[in-house]
Amino acid sequence: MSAKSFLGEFEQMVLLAVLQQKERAFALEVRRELERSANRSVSRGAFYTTLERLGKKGLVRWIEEIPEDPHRSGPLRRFDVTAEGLTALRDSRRALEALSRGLDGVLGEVG
Amino acid sequence: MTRDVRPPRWAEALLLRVLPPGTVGSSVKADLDQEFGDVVANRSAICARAWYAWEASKIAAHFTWGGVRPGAGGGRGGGIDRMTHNVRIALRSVRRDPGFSVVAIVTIALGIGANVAIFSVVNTVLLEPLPYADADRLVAIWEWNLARDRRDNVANPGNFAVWRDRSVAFREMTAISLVQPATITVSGQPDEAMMQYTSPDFFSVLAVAAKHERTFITELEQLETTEAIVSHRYWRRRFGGSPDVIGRTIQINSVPAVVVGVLPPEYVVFGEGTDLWVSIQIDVGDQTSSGRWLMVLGRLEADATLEVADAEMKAISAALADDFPDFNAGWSVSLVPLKLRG
Repeated sequence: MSAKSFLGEFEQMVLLAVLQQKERAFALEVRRELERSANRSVSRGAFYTTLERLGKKGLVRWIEEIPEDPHRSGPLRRFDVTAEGLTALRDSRRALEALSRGLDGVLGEVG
Repeated sequence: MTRDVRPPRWAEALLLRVLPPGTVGSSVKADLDQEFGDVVANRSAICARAWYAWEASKIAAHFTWGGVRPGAGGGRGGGIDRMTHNVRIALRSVRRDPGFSVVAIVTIALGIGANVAIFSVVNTVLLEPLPYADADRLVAIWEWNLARDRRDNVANPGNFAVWRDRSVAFREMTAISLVQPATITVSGQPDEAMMQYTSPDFFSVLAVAAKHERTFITELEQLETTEAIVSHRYWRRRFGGSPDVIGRTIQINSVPAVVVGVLPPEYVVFGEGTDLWVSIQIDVGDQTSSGRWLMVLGRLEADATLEVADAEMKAISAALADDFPDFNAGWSVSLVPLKLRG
């Protein structure tokens, strides 16, 4: 990933949700975490295509796991944020913090 | 799934066609299937099927226009780029006037949802006559998972072979696999297509003749080469509708196969959206090694009723549970006339 490219808002949220889920970062759990934390509905299509895009950028990777439910119709993928993904998240966070500096009066405290 | 409700087959076929092949696509579909089970438990069957159709359509739209599908570039890139551009313009319009957009989108969504739900029923019950000889004698034979009360489970190849050998109520019995993605290489050019494995007599049991040349040879001797039959649509798209396709060798997942026939355009059964079919022999003795992955179809004898066939098949299934208790205990069979398929 180019050092100059920025993550989109939704991409950042997906990466953070993967990190939050740790070893339970299966797609269904990550999407539920997103909906819970962001308090908004997340389109399955947008979510899965974003995961694939992040994978192509090298920001997430996945491994296939054997499902616990023997009746599940297909494989499970467990996601993980790569070192490049962490770097991209840190860069985005740093940029946001720099841009927010001195604006507490306008933006208020983060809850 | 807690009830015997299946997703609309066309929606499943749409996902199989649009999602990337391999683990990525199958895991996305499995996620949706898993959530479908939760929806079935809490809503009516028709609502659950409409929900699946709607969600599958949205996922398909994202994977088609979202630029993540392998092979989406190349010759089709111009069209997709234009489509992406149009979608972006549409999204900007949504942002400019969100109130109007919400009303429009909700109206369209309700309209599509209602149409999907109604069409699923009407299409099955009224519109689609089965284009096969003596279609009222054709019966789908499923394995029945008693513990989960799932009555339309796909069948094990070994069990199918035993059913076929022992049943007297069925004049013929044949099988076809679930639809799956495959890499088809023609003249060195690979492309993704949807395929199904079939028992060699599948088309003869359905009494479906090829539009060009022939369907599979049904004699039992093992053929030296793998044979393939292509759909009318795939024949036109991939081979330009050329009659030279007959006898041509193609690669299916790197395995050579000879094209022996082209099906008529109206052929659709157990696999809307399938591009080609490959013949395989299915033998006795596979019970424990190959899982359950076949859809089975039987043609009743002229004097056999569905009730008689059902009793016979359940007895054969019980014997199989005794013979292979580790694999078959807790399983029975379920018979559904093909004209009632959903």
